[in-house]
Amino acid sequence: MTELRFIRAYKPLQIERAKFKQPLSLIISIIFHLGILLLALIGLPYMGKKIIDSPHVVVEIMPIAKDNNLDAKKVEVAKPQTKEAPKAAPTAAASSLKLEEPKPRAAEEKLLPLKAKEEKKQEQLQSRKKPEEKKKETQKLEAKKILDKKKIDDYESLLKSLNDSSEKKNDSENKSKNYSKINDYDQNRALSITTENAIKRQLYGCWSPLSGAKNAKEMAVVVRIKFARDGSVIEAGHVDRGIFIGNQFYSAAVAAALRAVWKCSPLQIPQDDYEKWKEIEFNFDPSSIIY
Amino acid sequence: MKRILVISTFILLSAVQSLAVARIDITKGSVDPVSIAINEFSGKNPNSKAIAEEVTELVETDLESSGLFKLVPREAFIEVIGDPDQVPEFSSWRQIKAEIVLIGHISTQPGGKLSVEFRAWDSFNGKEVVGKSYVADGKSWRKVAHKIADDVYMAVTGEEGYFNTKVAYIAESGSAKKRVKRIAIMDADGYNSRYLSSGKNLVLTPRISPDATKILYLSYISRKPHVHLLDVNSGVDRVLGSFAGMTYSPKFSRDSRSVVLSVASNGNSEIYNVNLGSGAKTRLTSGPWIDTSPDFSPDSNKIVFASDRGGVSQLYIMNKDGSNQERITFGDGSYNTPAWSPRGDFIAFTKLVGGSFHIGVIRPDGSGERLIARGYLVEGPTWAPNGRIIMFTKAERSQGKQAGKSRLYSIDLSGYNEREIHTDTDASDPSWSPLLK
Repeated sequence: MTELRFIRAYKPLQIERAKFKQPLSLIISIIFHLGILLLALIGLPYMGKKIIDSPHVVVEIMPIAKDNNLDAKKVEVAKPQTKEAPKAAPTAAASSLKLEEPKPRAAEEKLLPLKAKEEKKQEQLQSRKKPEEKKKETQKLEAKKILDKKKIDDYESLLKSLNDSSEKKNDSENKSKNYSKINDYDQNRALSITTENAIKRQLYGCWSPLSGAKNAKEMAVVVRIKFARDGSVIEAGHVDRGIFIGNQFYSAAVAAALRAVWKCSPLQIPQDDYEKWKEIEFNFDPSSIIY
Repeated sequence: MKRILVISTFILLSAVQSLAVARIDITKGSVDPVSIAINEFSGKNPNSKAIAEEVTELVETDLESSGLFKLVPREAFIEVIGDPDQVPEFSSWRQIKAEIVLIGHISTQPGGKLSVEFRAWDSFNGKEVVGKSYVADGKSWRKVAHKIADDVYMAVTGEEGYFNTKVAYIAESGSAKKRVKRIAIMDADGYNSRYLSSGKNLVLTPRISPDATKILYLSYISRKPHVHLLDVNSGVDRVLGSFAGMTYSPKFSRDSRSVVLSVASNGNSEIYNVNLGSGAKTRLTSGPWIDTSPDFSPDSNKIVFASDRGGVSQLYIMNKDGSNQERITFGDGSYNTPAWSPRGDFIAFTKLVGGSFHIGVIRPDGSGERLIARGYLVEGPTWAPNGRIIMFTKAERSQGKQAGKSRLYSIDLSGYNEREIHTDTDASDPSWSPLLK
């Protein structure tokens, strides 16, 4: 009976002690929580790496076809890469064949028929390798052609010079002019690039500017040409811009430009956009090839 | 109302669309000569026919040698025309790709005179380009042929021709140690050469005057070089000016009235101007270096010369009174013998660089330097009167006693068409006359 009293008496004490302990732990817990919060608020932004905001690059993928008028970029020779993969396969096969060979050699009885087998295998190997090599050779030739063409296109001047250190400045200036053209998508240009290039290439072969004339560099001639459906010239006229009036060199340059157009007639032009090329204004400008 | 507006805007838009003509820039071409079909010049009687044949051949040779014309072979002609008044059937000439068609006729007149008529047509543009007639002495058929070639050349290129001109040069003969040099004058194509000096004294650098009546040249008499003035027609020869030192590298002014030359004494060389009429001498340069090889600009207001004041011989330009001397060449090697083009847009020079001689051209402002010929010894450029062709000396190395061959070559300003000029003997130091009348 007395033990019960003790327990009863003990219990309220415990509760009192608990009551006394609660506020202290609570306070400590609150303080720690607040501390972490503060740390997070102030410290986190400085702890992590900064994310740089990159400028947005808009990429528009367009197939180079007849209908657009973006200048086609010069195709780089990427072909050899695709050919490397299949090449790896035959070499693996070759090595496996080689492994087979030493074994049969040991057996004397099997020599003769085996030799035939070996030869057959070697022939197969060679025939497989031949088309490979051929393909590689043609690739090399193509690559060379593209490079050679590049060389001719970059340094083509009508005035011959024995020294190389002459006026390459003009060349680089003109190069930059051409590249800026490539990047502009001009909606007003009626002709497609393939048609324009086809016409240009033909006229390049027909036009012989009078390169030694005085001030030849400045004598750009504009002519307006009317074409028939088969590409032949119906009408060719000089667009007089009122410059070099009475200058005999200029009249000779005009005659040369008109002759170039007549000489090239009929031009090979794709028929479908006849409406776009039935009348063209040509600007025969020798400034980039004479210096 | 609205409908009308809509329709009218559509019409306007479509109109704008059709006005937008495509524009293509042609920025590349080729060095193709103009193709010309030359009909055989016709003649009524056997005498005129023979001359007509020679004239035709000479016109063909002249035009083709310029490098700017390509002859269409006569076998390809669809139509043959002998009458200059007949209009060609342009389509048949276009078919054989003949851009220019030339027709001519020769008739002999009493007194041994020749009458020549000719016409040239542009077959692609369907127009006449030139048509003229000449009356000349029977013996001067070469001159007439050269004049015809000049006319066709000018009509097609816009440039004055250069076929009816003369060249003064030094005719060389003999072994390497005993070289005989004589002044000679010939047609620009190498024919009709005649000697003007005996060869007794050493003569160099003849310079023909713009009116082609006088020749300046350098002569060594008693081992001292002096500039002489020779009258071509009368043969009168005198020493130019009385200078104490040696005189050399003379050049006429464009009006033939004064001569600019170098005077050397005590190792120093200066440029002087001598008035031919009064004999007055004006000194143009001064300084303890070598100033030489002066040449006038076409308007005679400026003089280009070579000077080694910068260490190595380079080219300078100054006013005709000697003021405002400016350097125009800055490249490697040494620059000499400048010659100002009669067109004024280029100066030709001899350059020694890398152990080789070169002929080059440069603009008077110092830009656009181009070397157009190279050789063991190439030097002494002289311009054709149209400023298009340069003639120079090309010599080979002497082999022991045998002197190296020395010939005259011509080359186009563009660097193409280098040709040897036919001369009877070895030749050097050419000087080209202006277009003759």
